[in-house]
Amino acid sequence: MSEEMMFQKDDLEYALSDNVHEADESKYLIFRCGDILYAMSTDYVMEIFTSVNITRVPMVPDYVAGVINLRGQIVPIVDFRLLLGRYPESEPCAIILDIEGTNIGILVDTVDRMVDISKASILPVPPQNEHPMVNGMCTIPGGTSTVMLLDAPALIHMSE
Amino acid sequence: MGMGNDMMEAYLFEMHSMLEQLDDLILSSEQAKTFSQEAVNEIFRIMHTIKGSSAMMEFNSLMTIAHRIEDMFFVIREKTMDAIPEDMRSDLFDLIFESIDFFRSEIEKIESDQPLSNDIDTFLNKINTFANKISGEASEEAPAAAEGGAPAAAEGGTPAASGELMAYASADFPYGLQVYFDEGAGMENLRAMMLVNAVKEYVDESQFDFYPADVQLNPDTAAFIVDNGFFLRFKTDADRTAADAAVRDTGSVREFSPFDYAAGIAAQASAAAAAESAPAQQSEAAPVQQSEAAPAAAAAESAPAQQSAAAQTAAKHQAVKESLISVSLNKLQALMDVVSEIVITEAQVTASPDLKGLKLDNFTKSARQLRSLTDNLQDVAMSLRMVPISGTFQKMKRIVRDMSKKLDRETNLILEGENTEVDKTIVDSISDPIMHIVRNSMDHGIEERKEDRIALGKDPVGQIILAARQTGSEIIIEIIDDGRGVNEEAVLNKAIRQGLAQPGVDYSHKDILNFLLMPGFSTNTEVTEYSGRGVGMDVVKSNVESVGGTVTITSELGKGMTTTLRIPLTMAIMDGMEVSVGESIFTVPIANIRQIFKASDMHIVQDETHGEMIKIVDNFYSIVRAKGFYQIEGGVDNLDEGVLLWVESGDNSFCLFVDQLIGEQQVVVKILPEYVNNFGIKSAGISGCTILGDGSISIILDVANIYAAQN
Repeated sequence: MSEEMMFQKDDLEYALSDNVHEADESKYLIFRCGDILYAMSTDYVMEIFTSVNITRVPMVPDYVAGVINLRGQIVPIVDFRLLLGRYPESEPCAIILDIEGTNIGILVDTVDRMVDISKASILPVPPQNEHPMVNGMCTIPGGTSTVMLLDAPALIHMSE
Repeated sequence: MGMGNDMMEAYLFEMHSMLEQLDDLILSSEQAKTFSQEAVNEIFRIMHTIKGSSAMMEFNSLMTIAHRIEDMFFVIREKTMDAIPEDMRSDLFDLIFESIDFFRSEIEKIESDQPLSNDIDTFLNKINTFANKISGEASEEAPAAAEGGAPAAAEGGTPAASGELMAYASADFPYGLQVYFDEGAGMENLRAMMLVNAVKEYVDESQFDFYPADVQLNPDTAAFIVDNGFFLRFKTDADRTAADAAVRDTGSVREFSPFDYAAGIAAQASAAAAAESAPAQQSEAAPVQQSEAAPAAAAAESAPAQQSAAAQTAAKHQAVKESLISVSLNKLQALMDVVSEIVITEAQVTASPDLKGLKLDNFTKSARQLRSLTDNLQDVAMSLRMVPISGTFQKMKRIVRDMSKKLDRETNLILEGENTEVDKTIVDSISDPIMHIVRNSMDHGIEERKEDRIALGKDPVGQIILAARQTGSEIIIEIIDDGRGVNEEAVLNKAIRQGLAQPGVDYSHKDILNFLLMPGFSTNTEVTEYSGRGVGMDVVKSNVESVGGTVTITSELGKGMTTTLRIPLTMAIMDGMEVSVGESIFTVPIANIRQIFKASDMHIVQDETHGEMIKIVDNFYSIVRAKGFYQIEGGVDNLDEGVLLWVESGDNSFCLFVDQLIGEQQVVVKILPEYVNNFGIKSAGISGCTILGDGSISIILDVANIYAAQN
């Protein structure tokens, strides 16, 4: 597997410890699928790969890209772009998540950056625009762009 | 499990193995219609241990019941089984079985983290009533030893212990109570005095004394109490029983056990030999150690022939036990995982592309050595998970026994090949199916009335054979009964009524028997205690299939029925054939492959729905194209360009068409993540995956399920 680790969980935790003074603020990883920005709490993020060797598994929905060998462990990979009903535009990045002890990877177009988002700035999604995977949205501090906050546990409960 | 700690695990393990031992012991005793003295001792010892460890874990219900039974067996041990009239014996066996069931249900509660039974009084009364009856009967027949009928526990009757205790027994106060305080409690003499004061509230001062008598004044007695215990002695048994409560309520009492002056004398003579030969063990404070030390010591000494023979078996037992250790399955799994990684890494290193074109004699030699060592390591690691199937088989004895009795259908269970070894995880998952089949045989197979059996020329006693044997990569378990057999007409009618079969279609015997395994099928409209609780043979089938096995039924009306389970020996590592289809790589278990051959399109025969078949020797087999079946992009379509695998699982056989063979390889089976499995890919013949030498993943195909999905 050709892998390029952009950062590991240890580094994340180190980064987090710098920000303890803002209790209601937490780190989010921002990534892009098509022209929409999504954010996921870094609590879930384990690793990021820019290239992965995915083994397809037959007889599963399109959005399940397959499985990868992560140091001997078999981890399922979901193509997040297909899950959101978008057509994959570019070579994907894989974000490996640890959600409630379950490892799962998601494919996205590009990984953007990390930001601090305070709880207070998270707003509900209007009912007409609801998506089962999105549990809030907010405007990035200091910026003009808006991100959709992903509900990570919903990802693993989806196939049940 | 609530307390996921080691102590809890050890306790549960110990309980399970002791209950199994008990089951065995009582089943064989029941056949002999009596308890041998050896069996009585063993039951006594087991109850004592259950009592002790349950008390330690604070499982009161278990402790109380074990205590009562221990008391009862103390009496039986003193009087021997001769004192118990024949007509009471079957009740005794039932009572012990009932208590085993009670222990089991409590253990289940502990395992599932539920509260233990509070209401054990009914059962307790039952035991007490019975125990009293035994004491009553016994005292009539052997009045001389009547004192022993008291609800005595622990050490009183252990020969070696009585010899020791006699020094502190008193003829005036014959009913003794030996009390030990918590280890390291300190100030034992003062604690003893407080205990005496507590007893005074229950028993008049003139009715008991204690030893050492000068505890209040002489602090040196503390050391004596630590070593030997503190002795309370009562004039009457009733007083001793009354004092029980006081002793129980007093703080820091580790344990206490009654002993009798009269019984002591009786036991003393017989214990003399053992006592002399093992003075060291005698001074041991812990009663359990003492009772075990006794037979061991006797074995060393040339005691009377019978006694020493019994003791030697006990000693042998111990030797066997000590050479075994119990390891948690998780640790074994971790070991297997590491070994698997080593095997893969070894292949990666020795077949590294960097080595291409290099001539490395020493490296090649060492690599070969490494290869054979890793192979060995793998074999050893695998063998650790293998356990004999006897544990599962033994449980069936109990079920047949209970049901024979309840349904009044005398039936023998014959076990064959109990020592066949199977992967631990597999044993666990086939235990329920076997139980279900045995119950079915008892309930629906064996004839209700002996007369019916005699009229058919059968032995009036029914017979169920439970046989296990191993062939190459499979273990075959057969459950054979000589009962009524399957009434195919009734089955077919039922199947039609359930919509499983079409009326007017001609079904083969095999097809009809297969209806029995279909979901929602149960030939008995009546729900009984043992079978037909809404789950049927289809559950058996799915359980067995979940470990990669198959179920088949054969039957002849009036002669009986045979259910055969074929199960892979282990699922952890297997020989696989790597094949490619388009870009994908699949692993087909070698065990399922009968033949690999090439064929061309002109050999294909088509059926009316464009299904393809091919003739091999004298039979036609359908062709499943992996490419089409799994909707894989790429891959070959012409038969000439690919290769056919003639595969078989159970009685199902077909040809699987793939692009090409990559090679044979020993693979480590990994299960696919639950996330993926949730899409029902198992029923599409995808049973797991494996990591190949180059780190890529190959999907393992399950031939049986491909066949099922295809039809």
